[in-house]
Amino acid sequence: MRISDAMIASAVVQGMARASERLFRAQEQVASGLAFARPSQDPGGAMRAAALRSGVAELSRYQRNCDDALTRLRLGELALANISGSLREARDAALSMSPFDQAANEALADKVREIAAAVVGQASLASEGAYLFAGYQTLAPPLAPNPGGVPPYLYQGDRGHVALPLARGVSVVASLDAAEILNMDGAADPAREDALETLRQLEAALRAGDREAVESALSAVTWHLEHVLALRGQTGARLQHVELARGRLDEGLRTMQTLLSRLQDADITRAVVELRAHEVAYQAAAAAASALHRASLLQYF
Amino acid sequence: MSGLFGIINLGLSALTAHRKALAVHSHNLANASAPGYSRQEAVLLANPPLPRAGAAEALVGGQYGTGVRVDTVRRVHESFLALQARTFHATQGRWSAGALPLREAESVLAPAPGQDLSALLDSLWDAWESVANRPEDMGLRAVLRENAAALASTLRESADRLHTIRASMDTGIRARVEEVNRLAGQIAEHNRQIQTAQAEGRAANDLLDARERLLDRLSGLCGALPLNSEGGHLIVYLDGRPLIQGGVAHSLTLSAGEAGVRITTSFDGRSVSVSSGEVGGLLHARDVLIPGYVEALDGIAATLIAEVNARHQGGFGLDGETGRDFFVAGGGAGDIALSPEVLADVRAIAAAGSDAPGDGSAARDIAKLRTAAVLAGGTLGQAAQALLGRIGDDLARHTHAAAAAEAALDQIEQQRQSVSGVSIDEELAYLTLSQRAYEAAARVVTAADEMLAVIIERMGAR
Repeated sequence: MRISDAMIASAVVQGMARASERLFRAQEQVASGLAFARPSQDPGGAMRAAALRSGVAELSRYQRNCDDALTRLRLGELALANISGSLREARDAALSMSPFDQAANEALADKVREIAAAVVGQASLASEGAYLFAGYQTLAPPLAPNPGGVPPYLYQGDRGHVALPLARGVSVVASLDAAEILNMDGAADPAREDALETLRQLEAALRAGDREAVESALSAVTWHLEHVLALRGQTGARLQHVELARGRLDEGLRTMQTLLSRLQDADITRAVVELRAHEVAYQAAAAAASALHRASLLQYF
Repeated sequence: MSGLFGIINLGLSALTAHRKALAVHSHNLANASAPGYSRQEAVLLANPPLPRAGAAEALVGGQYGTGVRVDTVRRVHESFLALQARTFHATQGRWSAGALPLREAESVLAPAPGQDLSALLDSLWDAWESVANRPEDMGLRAVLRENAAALASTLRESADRLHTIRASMDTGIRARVEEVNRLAGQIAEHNRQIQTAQAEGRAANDLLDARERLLDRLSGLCGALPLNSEGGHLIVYLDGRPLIQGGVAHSLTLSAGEAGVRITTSFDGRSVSVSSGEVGGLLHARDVLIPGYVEALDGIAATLIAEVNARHQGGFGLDGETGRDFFVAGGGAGDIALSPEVLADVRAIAAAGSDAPGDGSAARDIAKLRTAAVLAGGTLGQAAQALLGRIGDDLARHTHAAAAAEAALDQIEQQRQSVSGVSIDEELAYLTLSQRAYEAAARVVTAADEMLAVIIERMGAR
């Protein structure tokens, strides 16, 4: 093949340009840590990476929902534990009624009044400015004193439930409701009084020294205690369910992030080795160009 | 048999021929780095010989040589390679010019990994879900409003920048069409000069080279290819209609509108379809690809507005009002915006299915759009990802095709250079040969002169 000087110059320029381009690509990979920085470098990969990032965002959302549900349920469980403790104290007070010492009964009645106030306080628990047990009426306390006195408190929530999605098509009710906990308006058993009315009756019976009335109130307090304990068990089961879901989400998220990393992250070791190789190739191209230009008949004229 | 004067004439012919050959090699060396130059060679031919005395030349032929002459100065050139090169100039021009606006469009739609439209939609759904979990939280409502405003702003800016790219391409297309007209005029002028030179029996080598350079650029611009490329009667066709006919050039006129670009020829006043060369690549990007991206963006924006608004209208704000839009209704990517009520007060965000402040059911319904198949059988996020894949695929196709055409063009250019390119070594060798032949011819003249001197000076002295 006949070789002209323009061919040599063109081959040198093209060789240098190609070596330079490969060097640039390798530098770009090492600097960014990404296998491809733009969709045009790997259109299919870019689409898959965007879909995986979207999947990661969705799972992260479910993860945060789990955390939110866990917070709500743990606060609920704490309130239930405190209310059950209070009801247990009320039951003990009823059992401690003295048939002879009315002054002691008065003291027990005072204690029952304090217990009722503590139960109201627990039912009015708020987190981040929102009442937890008022359904969707989160800006007002769930219980308001009844001007008529009987029952002593009125429920002013709406029994709305907060259901948080933990996966596609899977939700968990993460809220508890004061009406259900305390049987306000007969929410749990229409045939029974609410817990605060029961405590009021117990307090009144103790002050009156009415043994029969105290026994009747004791039976009602026991029912409320068992009801709250049952709710606590239900809440514990929900907590366990959410914790399991959280674990599954952690695993799913790890898998998805690994896939995303494999797809979009550059293999740095390989990229650095390639960068070195391309540097050497570039230097070789420059050296070859220099050698080609030195070999000419002009040297002998 | 040639006499002494004949020998002097013979030497003179050699001196003349080799001086001309030397000039041709010098011309080659002078143009060794000139782009598009085809090397030339002086074709030396022996002069017709003289017949033997008394013999009929027609019967026996010449017996005594009469020297040498430059028969012609030949342009070393291969037409087939030139035609091939032009075809690849047109292909390379089409894909590389088309890639320029697509690269800009890619930077608009995919500024960086994780900052594309799909990621912004994810942030929006996430914000809706946060509000659904705590609808009474004004901070979360403000975050939702900011995320929605950022998405709307990105959609608007993307649509706007795509329109700007499209508009700026008009300038590029217009400049190229003007260049086509200028080149057509120059080629027609060259045709006239070549015709004249050839009619006068002169070699028009340098004119042919200059015209070839113009033809290469012309095909790279619009894919126009010539027929009968050697002579002065060259005809160049574009979309089946002549652009240049010998010494006559027909001009192209461009009119650009929203519907597309129309190019008409002065040959018959009808429009020509330019699908190759830089103009073809830019037209395809301007009138097919970029409008496709804008349409996809509009589809995403319009569906987002309609679906969110439909759910939002049924919900209640923290102020107890219902029936309000979240986005301004009826828009597309170019004018998507939050409704004035939502912009003015985050309490207008209808997160509730009732008038209760802690009810996030309407917000939850909107957040479910993340996984709802509402656009062409897929989710809005999938539509955004498909758009990302589409622009990436289009640009990758352009880049690869341009690189392939460039590689093929390089190969052909190498072959072209192998035939027509100047080798300095080769020219130096021939230069030396011509120089030595010239010196030898001078010696022949000197020898004949000395022989004449013997006859004149010594024979007459007796």
